[in-house]
Amino acid sequence: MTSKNLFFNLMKEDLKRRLWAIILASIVFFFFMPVATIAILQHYLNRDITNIVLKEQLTERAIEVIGGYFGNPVNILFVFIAGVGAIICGISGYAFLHSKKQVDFYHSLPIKRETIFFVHFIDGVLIYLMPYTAGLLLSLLLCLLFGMASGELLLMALGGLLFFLMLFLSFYLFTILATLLTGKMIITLFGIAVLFFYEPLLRILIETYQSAFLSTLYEGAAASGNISALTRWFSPISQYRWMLAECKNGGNFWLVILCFAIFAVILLAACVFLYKKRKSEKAGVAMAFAVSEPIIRVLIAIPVGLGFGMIFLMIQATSQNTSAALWLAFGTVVGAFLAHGIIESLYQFDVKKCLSHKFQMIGTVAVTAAIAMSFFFDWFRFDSYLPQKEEIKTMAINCYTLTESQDYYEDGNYISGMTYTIEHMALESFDVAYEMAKLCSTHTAEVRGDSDFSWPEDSYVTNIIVKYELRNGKSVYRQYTYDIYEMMDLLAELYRQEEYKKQNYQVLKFSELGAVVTDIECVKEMKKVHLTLSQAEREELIAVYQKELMAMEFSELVTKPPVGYMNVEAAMPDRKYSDERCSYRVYLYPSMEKTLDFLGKHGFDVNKIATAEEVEVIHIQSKYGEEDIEVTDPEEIAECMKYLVYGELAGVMPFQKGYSFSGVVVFRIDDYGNQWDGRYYFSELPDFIKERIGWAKE
Amino acid sequence: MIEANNISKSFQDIKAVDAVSVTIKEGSVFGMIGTNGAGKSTFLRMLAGVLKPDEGTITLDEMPVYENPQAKRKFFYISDEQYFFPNTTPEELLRYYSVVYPEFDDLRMKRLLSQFELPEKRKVSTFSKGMKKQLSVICGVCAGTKYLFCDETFDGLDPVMRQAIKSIFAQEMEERGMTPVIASHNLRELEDICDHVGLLHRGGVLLSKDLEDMKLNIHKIQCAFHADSNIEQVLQGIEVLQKDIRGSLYTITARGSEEDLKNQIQTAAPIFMEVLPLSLEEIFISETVVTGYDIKKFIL
Repeated sequence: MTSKNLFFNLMKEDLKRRLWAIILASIVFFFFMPVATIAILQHYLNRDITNIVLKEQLTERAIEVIGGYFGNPVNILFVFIAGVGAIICGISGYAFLHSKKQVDFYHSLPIKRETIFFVHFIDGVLIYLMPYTAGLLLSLLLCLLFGMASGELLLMALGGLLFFLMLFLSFYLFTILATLLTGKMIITLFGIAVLFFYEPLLRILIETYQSAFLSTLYEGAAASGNISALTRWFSPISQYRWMLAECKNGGNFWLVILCFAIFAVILLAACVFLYKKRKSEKAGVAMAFAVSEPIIRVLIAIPVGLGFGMIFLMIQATSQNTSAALWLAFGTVVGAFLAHGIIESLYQFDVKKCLSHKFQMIGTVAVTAAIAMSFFFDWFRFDSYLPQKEEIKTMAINCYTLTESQDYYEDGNYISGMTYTIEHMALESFDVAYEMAKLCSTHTAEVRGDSDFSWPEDSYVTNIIVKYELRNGKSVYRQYTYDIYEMMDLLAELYRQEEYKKQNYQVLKFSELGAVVTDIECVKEMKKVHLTLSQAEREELIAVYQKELMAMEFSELVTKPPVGYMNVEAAMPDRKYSDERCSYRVYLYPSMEKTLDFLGKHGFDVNKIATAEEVEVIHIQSKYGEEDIEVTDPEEIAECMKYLVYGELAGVMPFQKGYSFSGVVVFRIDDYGNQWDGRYYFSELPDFIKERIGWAKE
Repeated sequence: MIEANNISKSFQDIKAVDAVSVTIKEGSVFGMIGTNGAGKSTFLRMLAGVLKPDEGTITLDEMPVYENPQAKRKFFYISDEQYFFPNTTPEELLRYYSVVYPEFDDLRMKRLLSQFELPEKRKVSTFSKGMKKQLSVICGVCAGTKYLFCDETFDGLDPVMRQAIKSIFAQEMEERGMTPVIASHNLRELEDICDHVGLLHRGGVLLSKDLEDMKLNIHKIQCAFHADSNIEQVLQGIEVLQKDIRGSLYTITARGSEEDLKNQIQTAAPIFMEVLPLSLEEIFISETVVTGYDIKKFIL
């Protein structure tokens, strides 16, 4: 018999042994594929519609729903089936390694171990894939019979098949790995749980510790993505999250497949290697590879200890004082000790052996406590970090209130304005930025551990993000909380820097990005004017605006609200679809005379504010509702209108503590029979209002 | 020929097999005797390529055994607790082994199943322990392999069945030169089948000899002497392994050829002298007593 015949015959024999698994998979896929398809179809078929267009729309919708059911990676049902199916196939294929009788049987046969491995491996995949494919084909056939099929549906279904097969393979390979590393079923089940959940839980633990103790941690995407890009391959759950994110964010599906294929080959090779190295006498022994015992024990005991510590910290509710440190230490010691002892007991299946490796246990407990304390006391000076100026190549700095609150377009995705600014800014002259960072860093170090510290009432506290691009190639990020009023002069200097402005306002980079402005709409209060401009005029307007924005002073930004804004639509060169447009809201300030003049000439007069004649009544309220005044006198209305700033624009001015008084301005019914009202804010309260509410005159 | 050269195997801090060297010639029945924990099963599992020796080499017809399907095709291993697939029947086993062993004789298997009254289509899980052993042996014999490794296969079989299997072995040995290697803790079981016997104790080989050689070189002579015979002087001239005196009746187990021993005893003019047959157990006891090993404590 040739080796190929032997292989296929062995596969056939093995499948006969695992007929129960095939039947189980067939039943599951039968009910959740063709039967589910009928249930979905029925919803769309049982409608008495004669209109052809409506019928077509209904068919399209049905196809979309069915395609989504089979092709959507978020289908939790299929994810669950893939996971559970993989565990069943993995354990049923390799549990023979846990039985001395079975190991004697298989390993005495004239078959190479790799052959045994691959026979069971491929059969496990077939047990999942065959019923899945049969169920899918049957479902598509049903769709075809009922006239609800299309090429798109087929593609979505095939995409889903590929995705869920990859997911199955991931769970499957990790299950096989757990089975190979262990020799008893209960330990295997623990091992599966560890392999599946260790990495995501560890990441949550690290993030919890970071957010609890590192006040300057910046959780922006670029800062933390690099490590998780590697560690996600150590857990099928993390892999699934990554694959899902890539598919949802329009990532390259085939790149995902390629990355996954490489991972699968590596893990498969590792499993084969382990199987060949695994000693037959390890059947019935908790861990098949003695060298892995201390490694796994320590790798589990430390995070468990840290987790316990965090629980005790949360129970006693503070995180800054000595009591908190003691409870943290107590929790970590107890947790690490218990975890170490329990794992040792499981290895030897004897509770009395829990203290077998005393020195290792002491070492593990000590390391765990040290890790916890290093976070608590910031031994590595994370929060007080400030590099030497000579070490820095460029810097980026921004604060939330100063950054535009809109998202920016990049590489086919939208990212937050703050992230964009920080990732792109590269201040070569960074003296001002450095001074700001130094103030923040010094303050953070001073108040660390001081649970009584609080900012003064008249402060304006905001988050400041700093990025250091060091000469050694590293990028270091920090996020501070600071009273911005203490660095207004520095901010003003920073605002003058061209590089700062360019990265803070993406509109200033339109030429550099190759953006083509396609539409401009001007807005003031509740009035919108769509400008009819040629391409050259749009470019001219933007050029003028860019120049005036670049020249604008910080003082105007923080003392004068905008007088209106433009909604600018632009086509970016890296857009996914030809008709896709990015929207930008760019604010118009009083100093932008040329821009406002241009707009005025093209039908948008920004200076035209609502007149008193147009207003019927103003309802004035104070911030906390103590005052409620109605103004109907035209002269008084006119007086109020001088100080009222439209709500949408009032909030744009950064570092404002809020407005004490606002007014709902109700306009008279216009020529079209419409009546408008809007919320406005008082930049200053008119004298007659002050008198009415009894404010003392100064 | 199977050659095990200085093989050792440890399980954590327990040395199960300690520097064992054994040669198993083709065409003879090799019996391995030893108590529980002596290392018989471990040794056999190494021969079968299930366990990898920590030290030493095992070759079968000059081929290494471990992870070598070519070598493994030459033997069938019957474990002390043979594994059968869940819900399998003898018929299904036949199909499986036909895939794995190219020389598998399915017709012979059907005949033997019938001969031993083992139903082909009945689930093996419903068989008794003895029936399962019979089935294992039938599978092993029908595999058509040159060697057959049996680990305590005869345990649990009734005497009639034991004889039936021994006769099958004899037939296979005669017809195609099959070489059984049998491990057991029961000397009496191996007595009428083995050509070569090895005694394992605490992982080491205490004794490994051809049975015929052992029998040729040890004799039990029962004799009676006159009261004035100079028996002690006579006995000094021979290598006495064991001596039992009841009145005038001497039962002497001594090493040497039968003729030499008779001649020597004749010099004391015995009243009568008779050479008695030695059992395997008696030979073993005699062989091992000189090493200070009291085999009687362990061998049934």
